[in-house]
Order: sequence, then structure tokens, then C-alpha cells
Amino acid sequence: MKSSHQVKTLQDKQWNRSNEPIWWSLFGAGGVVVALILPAVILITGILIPLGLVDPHFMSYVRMQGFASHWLGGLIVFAVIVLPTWHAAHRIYHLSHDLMLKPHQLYFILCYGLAFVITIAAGTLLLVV
Amino acid sequence: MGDKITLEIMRYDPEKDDKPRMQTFQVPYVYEMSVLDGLQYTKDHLDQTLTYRYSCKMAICGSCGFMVNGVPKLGCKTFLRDYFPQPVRIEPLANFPIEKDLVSDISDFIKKLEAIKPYLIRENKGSLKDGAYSQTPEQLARYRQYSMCINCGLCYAACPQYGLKNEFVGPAALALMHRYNTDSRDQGRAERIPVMNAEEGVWSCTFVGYCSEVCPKKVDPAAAINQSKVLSSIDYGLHLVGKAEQPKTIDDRHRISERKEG
Amino acid sequence: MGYRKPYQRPMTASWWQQNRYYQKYMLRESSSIFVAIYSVNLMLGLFALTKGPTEWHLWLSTQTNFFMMLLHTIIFGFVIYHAVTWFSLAPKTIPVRPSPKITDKMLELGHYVAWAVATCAVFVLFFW
Repeated sequence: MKSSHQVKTLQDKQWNRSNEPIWWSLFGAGGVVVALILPAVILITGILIPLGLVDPHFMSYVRMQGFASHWLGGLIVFAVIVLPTWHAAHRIYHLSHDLMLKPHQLYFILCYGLAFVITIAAGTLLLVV
Repeated sequence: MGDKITLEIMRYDPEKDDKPRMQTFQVPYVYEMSVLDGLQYTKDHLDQTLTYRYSCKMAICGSCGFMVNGVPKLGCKTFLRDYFPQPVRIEPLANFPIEKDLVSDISDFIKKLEAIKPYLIRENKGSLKDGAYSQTPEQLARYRQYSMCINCGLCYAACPQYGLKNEFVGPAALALMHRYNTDSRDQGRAERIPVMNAEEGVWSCTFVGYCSEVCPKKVDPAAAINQSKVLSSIDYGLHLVGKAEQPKTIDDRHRISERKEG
Repeated sequence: MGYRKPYQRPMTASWWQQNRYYQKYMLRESSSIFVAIYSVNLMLGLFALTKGPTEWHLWLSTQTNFFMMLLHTIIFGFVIYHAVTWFSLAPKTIPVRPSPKITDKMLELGHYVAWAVATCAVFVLFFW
């Protein structure tokens, strides 16, 4: 039971600036990529190619390696992997809050920590590909 | 005789009960009856101890908010005919403490409303002979819908984030903050910005959107809050490069106006 | 002052089950779990690509098994749901617009046009 019936004003309350804009901006950028780009990418890599509906040569090693090692291609691959990861990390963290899972700090470190690891890993792999 | 409708009403007597209980009443059903009329009949003819709050009966005072079948509604604007012949469950607004029966204590919302300074702030007071502050229809259109808020608290009852974390400033207060920040006559943004930027400010919202859905005055708090998130993010970026607007307090305002007058 | 004992109703983790609106919100938010799974799968693909042709083709062949195909179909469904909800909410978050004549519906339509353009761009880039 809380004691909100003891009415006090919030006049002396210290309002601290939140760092949420960082996570929210990454979430927003990722959300745009997921909405605009990912449906087509999933359709190709996850459905059309595995079903054999398009020539598998389009996803051959030579073509894909060539694309990912080109600076622009690499940048596109980086954006398509990393931004949706930050988008998902943000939503899953807030989902843990919605489902009243505790402690918050654990879920914070798990979600954004994994997104950070994937970012570093994707960047490194693209440099050596 | 005529039809009857069943009202399932949540009762809580702080002097006797440890927790709320449900009580059922049979009320004569008339096509024109609102939920509030049903409660009036119950109090007048069936149980005079029933406690609830209302005033204008015309959806402008914002006093008679209840959960009707689990949905936040104004009792005067909700009609029994939309539920008849099914029973109607009436409970106090969710997320607020229950004072007695259907009366919820919304003073937490009022505190938050006070914190966002819901009035026009001018850096220095103009004199009466200068006349009113003028505004174009386009400038009015930018904030008009937000100014329709009647402080009924339905959006707080609809907001799971407020339920999960009571520190959240919440939908109506943040919508009114946006209303004053976007008013061309207002100069108080610097005083409100610390509330906006805080975790308990716009950043506790996850855009569930149900607040806008239940608003009886068609205010869109979800839009106001999420537009404020964009503005808060811009302010955050400016802060990182040391260019953010300096937050002000009411004392700063008094000092400025004293200097100008003195 | 009279006698006061306000009662705070407890909130449970199942709050979102009480109405359709909350359920749809949870559906929208949980799309992110499938987005994360897809990202991890793409990461494994990228890892295989750095290892060499044998590993790459091994990764490609895992994509054709029934479980992966089913998973991709589910992911695709969730991502489409994300896109539709994103396009309907995004216009509300735009604080300033050049003219008040530009409505949310028009901005939403604009997002669908951008979607069509982006999808064409992905296909052109891939099959070029």
C-alpha cells in the first residue's frame, strides 16, 4: 500500500535528466530499418532462397563475400544486423519491465549488453570478411 | 413492469473493510439512462451509503470517471443501453487508490499537473493597456486539442506504465505540458523542460496508446508525449555539445521581471 | 481530519491480458524477440562468411531445414505486424509539420510509399 494520500507538492523534487534519448534514438533508427528493409530481406534470405524459388547463385559465397567486403555493402550489412538488434534490445528491456521482471539492472545489462556485443562482433567480422 | 438491469458495483468502506468487495443491484432499465443515472437510482432507492463523485452530468467537469466493464469511462457519457441486457460492472478508476466505494483518490495526478506548470508563463508581465496576446488560427491549431483536457483521470486509469510505476508524471499532465510548450504566447518551456527530460517524465511512456483511446474529449496524450520525446532527444543532443537551453526556476523568472521593472 | 484508509489495488504481471488493446500492444512489443532471433541468425551467417565457402554453404543449408523455414515464416509475420503498427504510430511522433493541412493519414500513406520504394531497392540490390 502506498501513501499517496499524504499530499505533498512536487515543487522541491529533483528532476534528473534521463539517458533514455540514447536508447530511444537507436530504437527508433532500428525500428525504421525493421519496418522498411527487413521484410524484403527476410523474404529473400529466409523464404525465397531456402524454398529454391530463386537461383541459389544469388546467395553464393563469391557474391555475398564480394558484397560484404565492399565498403558500402559492408555498411549496409552492418546497419541491417546492428540497428534491429538495438531496436529489439530496447523493446525487450521495456517488455521485462511490463512483465514486472526484476531486478531492472540485470535486464538492462542483458539487453543492451548483448546489443553492444553484437555491434562489436558485426563490425569486427565485416572488417575481416 | 419494465425491464431491470444488473449493476455490479465495487464497494469499499475504509472503516469496515480490509479490501473491496462486489455488490449487485437490480435497477429499472430505461433506454435514456446513463451509468451515472443507474448509480443515482441505486443511492436514492436501494442503498443510501453508496458513495461516488459527480457534478455536471454533461462530460465537462470530469468528476464521474469509473471503470465500466473494465474500461475507463465517464459515468454521465456512458449509457446502460450499450450493455443491456448484460450486467454492468462499475469500479473506481484503476491505478488510483480507492477512498471509498467508487471514489478514487486522484490527488497524485493533481500533484503532477501542478508540477508541469499548466498556465501561460511570461518572462515579464505585460500591462493591461497593451491588450491581449494575439495568436493566429494556425498557432492555435498547434495545441488546441490538448487544451480540451478536463482532468478526469481516465487516461491514468488506462495507462499500464502509470500503474507499474506511480512516479511517472503520466498522460494528462504531459499532454498539458506539451499544450503550454507549443502555445506561441508561452515562454515557460525552460521551466518545464527538467520534468520532460526526466525518467519519470516522457521517458516512462512506451506508447501503449490506450490513454488516447479512452479520452472522452478526444485529446491525444500519446501523441503529445511522443512528440515531446523527440524534443527531449534534441535537447539531450544539444546538452551533449553544451548548447541546451538552461533550465529555469520560478525564482529566475521573478528575478528577471524585477530587473526589467526596476 | 476524518478517518482515511485508501486501498491500492495490486497490479499483476498479467495486466495486459485484460483487454484487446493491451494484448495488441504486447503482440507489437514481442515482435522484437523475433527481430532479435533474426539478427542473431544473420550474425551466424556473417560469421560463416568470414570462415570460407564450406562454412557459408553449411549455414545456407541449415536455412532450408523445416524448423528454420517455419521460424522465418513466423519472423516474417511479426516483422510485417511491426511495420504496420510502426507506420500508424510514427506520424503521431512528428512534432512539427510544414502545414497543418498535412494529416496523420497522409504521413502514414507516405510511410507505405517509402516501404514500397525500400522493398524495390532491396530486390534490385540483391538480384542485380
